[in-house]
Amino acid sequence: MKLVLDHLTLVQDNFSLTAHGEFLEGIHLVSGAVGSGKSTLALAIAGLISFESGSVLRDGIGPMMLSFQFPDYHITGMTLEEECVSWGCKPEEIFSPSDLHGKNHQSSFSLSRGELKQFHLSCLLNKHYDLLLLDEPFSSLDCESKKKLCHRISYQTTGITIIFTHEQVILPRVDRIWEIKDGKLLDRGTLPDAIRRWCGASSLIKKLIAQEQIPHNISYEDVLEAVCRT
Amino acid sequence: MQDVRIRICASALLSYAAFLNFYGAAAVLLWWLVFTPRLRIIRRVRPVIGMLIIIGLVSIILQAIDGSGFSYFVRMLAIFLIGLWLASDYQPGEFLHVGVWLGGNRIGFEFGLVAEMTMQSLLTLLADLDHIYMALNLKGIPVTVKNIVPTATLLIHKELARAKENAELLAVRGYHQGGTLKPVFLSGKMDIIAGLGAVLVIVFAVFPFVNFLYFDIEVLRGLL
Repeated sequence: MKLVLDHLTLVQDNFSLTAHGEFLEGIHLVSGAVGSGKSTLALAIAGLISFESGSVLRDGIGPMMLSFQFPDYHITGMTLEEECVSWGCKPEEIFSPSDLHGKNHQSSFSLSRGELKQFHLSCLLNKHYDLLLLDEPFSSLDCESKKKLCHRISYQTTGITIIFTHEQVILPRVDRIWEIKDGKLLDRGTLPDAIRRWCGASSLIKKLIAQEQIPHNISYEDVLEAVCRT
Repeated sequence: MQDVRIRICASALLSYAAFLNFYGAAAVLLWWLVFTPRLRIIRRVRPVIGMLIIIGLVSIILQAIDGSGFSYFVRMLAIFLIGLWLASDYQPGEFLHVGVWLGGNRIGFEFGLVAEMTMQSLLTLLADLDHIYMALNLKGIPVTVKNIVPTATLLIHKELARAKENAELLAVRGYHQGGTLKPVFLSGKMDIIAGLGAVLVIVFAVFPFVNFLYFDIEVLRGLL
């Protein structure tokens, strides 16, 4: 199973992005500044927008899903239970272990953006997808929710998971880092070597690199371990 | 057309001409062919096709009932194309300039701001619709009448939330009534020619002295 971007070129108004590379099974981080083209690339990979040239090859990939940054676009059910069912999930699996216990019949529009994001991601991560594209999954979430989400994402042991984000601090363990810079998707390689080449790393990680205390991975726990390393 | 004042006046005149009678609508279509970039203004094909289908269906029904379907189709097509041209040439901020130019920095500013916010909402609504279609597609849910209810609810909900945010933003920034703006307009020779053309179209549609130019629609049908 692999996703191949073959000299993909995306052009929109005054913006262009080129991407070339192979995404194998595992968790990938696509990092980049706001407006660098992460969402556009995610839409192109999902086959939802057309591109100028090149191709996207989804080799051996079955079920696929893209989670938008704004989860309200995904709402198709009037109640939370209907919404849950529309994702193919069993309500008891989603509501019982969460803060939404007993809120099955509440309107889908009654939740705050953060609550909706949590609910949406719970439904999404409850299912298996060969290719899972998460566009800014950490937006609207507080630190605790971000950590829980990282934990959930790390359960994705099969399939290709690609996280498109500008988050720098609370991240899950990943297998490979990619970076969008100056209109190009750059492959920074596998961990831990990729950290040295990662321009979008947090200032703390950059400081650790300067002190030769390279974290094993980019998760909060790994960075903390590197900080405490003597 | 660069000058938004001429564009709005021309659109109003042309829409009225098309609404008045078949000959007015035919003249409007001719004007559209001469003075606009024609089909190049279409940025979204799907809604345009949808509208044409609706107009076409109503026309067929009217034709079957009282024979006025053909005239209705031509008039509605002309109005629709003029509306499409007006919307496609829109540049953010220009309605605010027109408002201030027409009614000054208080009342004019208010009306201009309302028009501007309405146009921005329409554009956002279209972007929202695109995302909703994509999300339905991802979930494998077909676009059916049953699914229109949550979709419409979502659009209304988002629009109301956005309106509330805008209102709060205006209040936080201390907006009370009106503002200060020096209207600026771009204009060219072709704008004036097209504007005069629109005036000619309305004259042709309104005044009876041009009746000698008319020929019966039945004769046209016979020729075809």
